[in-house]
Amino acid sequence: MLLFILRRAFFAIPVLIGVSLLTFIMFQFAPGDPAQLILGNFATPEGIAEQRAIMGLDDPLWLRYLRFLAGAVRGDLGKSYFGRQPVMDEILARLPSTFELALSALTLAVVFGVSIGIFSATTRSRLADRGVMLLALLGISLPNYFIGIQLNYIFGVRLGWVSAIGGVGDFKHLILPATTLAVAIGATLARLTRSNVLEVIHADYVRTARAKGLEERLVLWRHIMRNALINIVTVIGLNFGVLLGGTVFIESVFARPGLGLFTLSAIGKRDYAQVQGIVLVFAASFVFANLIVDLLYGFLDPRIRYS
Amino acid sequence: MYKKTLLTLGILLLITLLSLSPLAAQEEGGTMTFAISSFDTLDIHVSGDGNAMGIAWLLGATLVARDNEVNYHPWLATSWETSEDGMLWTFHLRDDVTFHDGRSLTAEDFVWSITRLLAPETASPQSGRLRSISHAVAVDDTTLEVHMNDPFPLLLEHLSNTGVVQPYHPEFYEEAGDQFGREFVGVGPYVLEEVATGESVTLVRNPDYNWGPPFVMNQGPYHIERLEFVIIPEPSTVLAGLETGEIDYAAVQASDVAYLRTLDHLTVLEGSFQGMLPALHFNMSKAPFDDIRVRQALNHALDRQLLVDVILEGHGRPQYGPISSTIGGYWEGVEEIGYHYDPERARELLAEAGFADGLELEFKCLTPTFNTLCEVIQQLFGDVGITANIVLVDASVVFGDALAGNYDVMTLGYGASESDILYRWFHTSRMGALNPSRAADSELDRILDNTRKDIANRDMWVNEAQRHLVEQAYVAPIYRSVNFVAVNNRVQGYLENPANLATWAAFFNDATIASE
Repeated sequence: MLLFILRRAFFAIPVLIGVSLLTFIMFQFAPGDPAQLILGNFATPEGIAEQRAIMGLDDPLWLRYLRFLAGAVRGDLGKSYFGRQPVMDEILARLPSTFELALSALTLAVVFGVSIGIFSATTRSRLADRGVMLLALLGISLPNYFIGIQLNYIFGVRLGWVSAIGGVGDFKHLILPATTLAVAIGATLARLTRSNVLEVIHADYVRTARAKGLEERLVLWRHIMRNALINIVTVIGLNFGVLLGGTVFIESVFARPGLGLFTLSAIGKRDYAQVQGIVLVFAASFVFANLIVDLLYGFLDPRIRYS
Repeated sequence: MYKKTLLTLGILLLITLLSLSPLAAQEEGGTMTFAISSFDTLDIHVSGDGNAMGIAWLLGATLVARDNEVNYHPWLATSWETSEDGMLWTFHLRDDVTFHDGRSLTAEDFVWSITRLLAPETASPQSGRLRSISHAVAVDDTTLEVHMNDPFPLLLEHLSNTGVVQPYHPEFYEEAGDQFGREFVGVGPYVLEEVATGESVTLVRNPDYNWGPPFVMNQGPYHIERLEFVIIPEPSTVLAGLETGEIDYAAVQASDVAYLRTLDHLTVLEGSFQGMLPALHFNMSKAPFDDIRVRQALNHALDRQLLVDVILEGHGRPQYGPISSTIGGYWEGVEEIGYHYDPERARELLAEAGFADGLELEFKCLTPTFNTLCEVIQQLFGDVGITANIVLVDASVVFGDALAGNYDVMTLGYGASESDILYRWFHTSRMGALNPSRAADSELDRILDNTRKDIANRDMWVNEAQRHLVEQAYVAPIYRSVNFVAVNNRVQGYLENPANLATWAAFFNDATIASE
């Protein structure tokens, strides 16, 4: 098992280097001269030339990439164009809030999505099944910022149960944004769980399990769900990007000081140093999430581990 | 780049109607909550954010203060004089001013701050304002000499109008290291309590502040105990906060004004934009835009009132000159000699220029800001036989294209609080840094040079520059928009300023807030 983990982790390294190269190149082709951007409205041609020299912008591309990579490896993503704070610090300061939101949303999505899926697949009432799946379809279709604004209006402004201007702090600040972010993924999981459970519910080994007199609860969890889980875990991994993307809107609507909101403001200001750092961190966490999914496969299905 | 910062700045700075709300009982205390859309750092030398600069100004003070009629008054300097050739300014400082940590302010602190602001390593977006300063010298604790590279008539303007040249505390700066900007010590009416990254900035009242400029209502400590600036980028969330009373002060969108005015607990204030945004720029380095008749025709094709009605829902005014009527030095003559809507004349001019059968051009349009505007303009152009092919360009591309001359006609513009923007935007020497219309006009350069050199006749030269720019039609100004701010009626006794100014500092200098 340890060898499996190490092998998988090792393969993540070239991916990360590729990511850093792509990120770097991408921002080299981003239009606009950073020196002009920094000096702004009052810039003079001499000032811009001076600034380009200080920032090393006239050096060859490969040298600048190596410099960027050497910094990134040591956790130094440079300084923001505006404000001149270390980008890594700015990201780290916001990471916990986003992590809290993403994790709560994921938990909500898995708990409700999977339970609803199981309910839908096993219920004998066609009406309940259809109704629940209609709701899931709505959940997938509605844009999350629309849901967020509506929830905020209902519970923040009309009912006054939570602060109408969001923010961070206790559970009350978390519940609406986490719910909003969970809707789309939860709905996807509900549909997926339903179809996967239905697929295996009539399989031979399930009939065998029932036939040997196993409790229905055990049949469900040990035989049906264990097989359905592989697909569910895959989808969670793939949806990690959706989750991160979602935080951009959700944190904006609920004024949460996280990475999503930071992304939005960095793009708005065209602070490429910040955007580059964020893209790199997002990409790295995506790689990391998929690594975990890979490892989970091995855990869920021993055949994968030994192949 | 300009638009966002400058609009926020504009919202901060401009509040119409000079009137004082009835004086409330002068009670100290309370918390006033502001919604701001963004924030970066309190180190305003390197900040690119209008809100951050507004907050930083509450933490500090400047040498001179500017009133609404553009007179300059003593603030941290009790008096000042300038040498005959304009190359040396001497400021005499107050001796009773202290930083928030109790240390006395000296001329040395100003020298340090100005030196850092101008250093190339600082790469301050503000340094260009003060390029004319060579260096500063502290003669003694209360005498500051500012030596110039060239006589610069707008020195007092730039020393007074943004709070950028406020004294930093050098020892504190060293001590704070890279935390500086999240931590700050100044000489202003408010003391920094906390910067919660990405979340909020909290200030508390400085009870020792006793050096307000003479023309403001209250020279002593402010009355409101705490100011909380909460970062909320999403307008609908700001609206929700105003509605529930969790937000006391926020910039709001024109489309929400009608609804906000129906709420009894809010007052909506109106302020005008300063500068020239949006305006069509014509690329002088490309035919046929080097032909004045074509540029004039494009100007005459614009029904500016229609654009105000359609795009701004009537909140705004047509603009004919390169600076708005809300800037000192505005010349009313532009309204007369400017190009009014005249499709007949536009067609005539085009025919004279050899385009009787129509003209096709590429119209670069800043997206998403001006999408609708450009579509309406496209129709207006169509009415006079011009086929404008809209190309949507993102903010990141706009400037590169403009400076490289990679366009025919383009939406661009600036926010500015003073008329020196004409020099910075249109002077030939500025090509490559600004000057997007790429006009190389020696007559215009002569006029603009004089706005900086012939200080005694500066007003005349500024008028002349406006006349020349309108006559040559390098740009087609469109309209001056209006900004809106909603204030909770809990806040009493604030100043509703006319043109410019004020920043939050002068805005609620004497204001109080009712406790819940």
